[in-house]
Amino acid sequence: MDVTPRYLGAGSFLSRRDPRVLLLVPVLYIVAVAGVDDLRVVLACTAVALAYYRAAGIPWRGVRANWAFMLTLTTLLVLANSILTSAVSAQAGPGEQVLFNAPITHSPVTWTTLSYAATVLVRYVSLALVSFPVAFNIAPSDLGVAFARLGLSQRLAYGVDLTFRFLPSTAASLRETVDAQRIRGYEHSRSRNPVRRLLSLRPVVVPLTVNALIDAEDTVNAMDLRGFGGRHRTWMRDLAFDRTDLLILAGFSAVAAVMVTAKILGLTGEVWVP
Amino acid sequence: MTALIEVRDVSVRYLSTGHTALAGTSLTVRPGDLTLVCGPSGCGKSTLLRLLNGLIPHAYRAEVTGEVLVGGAPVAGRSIRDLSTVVGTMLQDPRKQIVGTTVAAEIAFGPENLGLSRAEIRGRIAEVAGRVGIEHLLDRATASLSGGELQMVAFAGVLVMRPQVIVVDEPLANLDPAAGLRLMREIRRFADEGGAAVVVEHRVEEILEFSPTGVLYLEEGRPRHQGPAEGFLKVAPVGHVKLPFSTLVARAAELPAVPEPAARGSGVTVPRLEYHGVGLGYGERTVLSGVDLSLGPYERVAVLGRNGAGKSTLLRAAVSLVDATRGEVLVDGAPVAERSVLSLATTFGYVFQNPGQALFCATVGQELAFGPRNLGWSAEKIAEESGRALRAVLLDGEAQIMARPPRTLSFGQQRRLTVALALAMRPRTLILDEPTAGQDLRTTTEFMGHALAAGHVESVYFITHDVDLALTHADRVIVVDDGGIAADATPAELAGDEAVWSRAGLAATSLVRAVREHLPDAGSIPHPFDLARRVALLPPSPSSPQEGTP
Repeated sequence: MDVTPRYLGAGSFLSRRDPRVLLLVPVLYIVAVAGVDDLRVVLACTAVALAYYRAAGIPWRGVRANWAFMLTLTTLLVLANSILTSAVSAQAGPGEQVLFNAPITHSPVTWTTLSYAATVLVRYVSLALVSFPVAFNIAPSDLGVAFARLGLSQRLAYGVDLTFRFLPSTAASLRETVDAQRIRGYEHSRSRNPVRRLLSLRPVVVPLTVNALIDAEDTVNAMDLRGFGGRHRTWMRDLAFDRTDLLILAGFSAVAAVMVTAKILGLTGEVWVP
Repeated sequence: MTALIEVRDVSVRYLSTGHTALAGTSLTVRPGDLTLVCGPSGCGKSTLLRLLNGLIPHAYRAEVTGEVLVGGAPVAGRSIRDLSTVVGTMLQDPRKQIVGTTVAAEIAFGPENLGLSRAEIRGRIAEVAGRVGIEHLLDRATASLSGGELQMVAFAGVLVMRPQVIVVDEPLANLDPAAGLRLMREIRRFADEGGAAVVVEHRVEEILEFSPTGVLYLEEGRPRHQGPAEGFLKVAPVGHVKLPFSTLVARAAELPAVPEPAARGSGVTVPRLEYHGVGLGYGERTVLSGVDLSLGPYERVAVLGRNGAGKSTLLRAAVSLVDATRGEVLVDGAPVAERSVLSLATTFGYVFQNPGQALFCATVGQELAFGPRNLGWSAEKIAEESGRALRAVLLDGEAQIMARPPRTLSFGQQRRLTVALALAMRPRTLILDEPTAGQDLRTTTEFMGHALAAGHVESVYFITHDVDLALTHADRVIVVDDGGIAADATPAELAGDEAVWSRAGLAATSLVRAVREHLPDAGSIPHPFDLARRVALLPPSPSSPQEGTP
C-alpha cells in the first residue's frame, strides 16, 4: 500500500503557483457552484474547472485509480440521493411525464430528476477537478507553511506537515502489524455481521494504536527538544503571490461573485429541463 | 575549565509509578569530553539523559533531589526550548525524531523554531550538510532514506541548533556496524572541536574505540563505576557488558562458565528452506535477485548485512509474507506458494523485532492461545502448549503470568513472550528478526539461550547487526548485500575473509580479529569466554601481544 504523498504535477503551471492559490481555488469554486441546480450553468463552471485541471499537468496514469474510485462513489451517491429517492419529485411539474419508476423504491423518474442527477454528478466531478491539484500539485513540505500563511495556528499548520511525514511510516507499521498477526493465523472476518467484522480487526487495530501513541510521545519529546512550540516561528519556505497567482485568484473570485449574485437573483436555482 | 553540565548527587523518582529510577548520581561534562554511560536495561540511563536535556522535570512528572546545572544554570529554571540551544538530543530511533518531509525541511526544523532569519537558516543547513556529508540528500524525501542516512540527517538536525553538548541514546542499536561507526566518528569529531557528548550505549566495545574521556556505569539506578575507560575495563561485570576481547583475555580467570550449547538433530534430510533463482521485492522495487540458497533443518543460520539490504525480505519469503517475483522458494521440498501463511506457522515461528506489533489481548493467556486457536487446536492442547512455551522462555515463574496484561511486562519479557507466541504453535524452525537490538549483554545471552534451546525447535535462523552474536550463536553466516547473497560461510571462514568486512555494512570487532588469529581453520566459534580462556593459556607471542585489540 503506497500512501506516500505523490507530487505528480511537479513542473506544471499549477505546481509553480503559490500553494495558497491551490488551497483557495477549491474554496472559491465551492462558493460558486453550491446550490446551483441549472445543469447548463454547472457545465459552464465545469469547463473552467477542466481548464484549471489541465494546467495541473497530472499524468492520467498516476491518478486513474483515484478517478475510478471517485466516479464510482459519486455515481452511487447520486443514484441513491437523486433517482432512487424522490428528492426532486417536488420540483417536477404536476403534469410532467414519468419516464419510468426507479427499481426498489419505485420513485417516479422524470426529465427533471435526470437533469438534477446530472447536475449533482457534474458538480461533484468539477469539484474533484479543482481539488486534485491540492493533493498532487503541492509539494508535501509546502503544505504546513501554506496553511500557516492562511492564518492557521503554527501548531495546527505543522500538524498538517507531520501528517504527511508520518503517513508512510504509519502505513509501514500497519503492514508490519498485519504481517505479525497473519503468521499467527489472523484473517480479516468475512462475516456480514458488522460488529463481528469490527471486532475481528482488534489484532491489528490495538497494536497499531498503542504503538502509534508510544511513538507519538517520543516524537513530541523530540520536537520539544528542538524548540518547537514557541510563539514566533520562521518558515524557511518563503511564500509570495506573483501576478499570475493574483490573476487566477481574481478570476475565480469573479466567477464566485457572479454565481453568488445569480443565485441571489434566483437565476440558477431552477432545475433545467431540456 | 567551566563545566557544560553538572549533575550533583541527583535522585529521580517518577510520580506516576513511584519508582526511583536514579539515585546518588553525579556527572560533570566539560568541553572536549566524550562520556560513555552504560549499564543493563532499566539501570537509569534514559532517566539520566532526560535530566540532561530537561525532559525531567519539564515533560515527565518526577521528584528530583540534588542539582542539575546546564551552562551553569539550574535546568528547572530553564525551558526545554531554551535548553535545546545548549543540549542537543539524538533519540535511539531516528524515525521518531525526524519530522520534516524532506531532508532540508528536517534540518531547518530546529532553527525555524528558534525564529532565525531565512538567510541564517539556509546558511546553517549548508554548513551542517557539508560537515556530515549529506549535501546530496537535501532534496530527498525523508521517507525514502536508509537507516544510516536517517541517523546522519537526525544528527545534522541536532548540530544545526549549534548545541554545546550532544546526548545520544544508543546510536548503534538500530544501525549496521559501518553506519554506526560513521556516526560515532562524527560525534567524536564534535567533541574534539570543543563540544561535548554523552553517549548511552550497551555496545561498550565499539564506543571504546573512540576513546571516551570517562565512563559512568549504572546498575539499578546507582553509579557503580565512574572514571576513565581503562579503570572501567578492570572492574566492568564481564557477563553484563560487551567488552573488548583483549579485556576478556586479561580477565580470563573471572569469566563465568558457559553452558554447553543444546544438542541438535542431524542426518541427511530435505532442506528446510530453499531458494532457486529467486527474486524478491515489493511492487516494482526489486530488493534481491538471483538468490540460490539452501538452509538445513538442523542449522543455526545468522543473516548479516547493512540496513535495507534485504535481510528481512529474504526470510519473510519463507512464511509467504513476501512472494517471489522470480524463481521458486521451497519449504521442506514443496513450493511455499502452495501453502497458506497459517500452515507455515507450524514450520516456521517468525518473531518480529518489535514485540508491540503482536500484542493485543487483555491477558498473556489469551495472547498465547490466539495462534493455536487459529490452528483449530482443542482447549486442552492450547493450555498444554501455552504452558510449555512459557516454560521455554522462563516466563512461567512470573506471578499470575497467564492473567497479566502483556503490556505490563518489561520490554525484555515482552520479547521473550513473542518467542513464546511462536513456540506455542510448535514450529520446527524459529526465525528471529533482530532479536537483540538495543539489549544488554546479559539479556541478549539469556534470550538467545532460550530461543536456541526450545524443545521442539530444530533450527534457528536469525537476522542481526551484531557481528559477534552471529559468529558465536550460528554455525553458518549469510551476508546479504548489493541485491544478493554476498557471502555464505561458517563463522570462522567469514571472520577470515577480510574482503567481506570492508563492505556489506560490516565492521570487524576484536572477536573477529581474535578468531582470525587463533582459529583460522575452525568451522564454528566457541563462546568468547571459552576462547578467551583458551587464548589466556597460550604463551605470549611476540607477533600477537595484543590479541583482539583494534
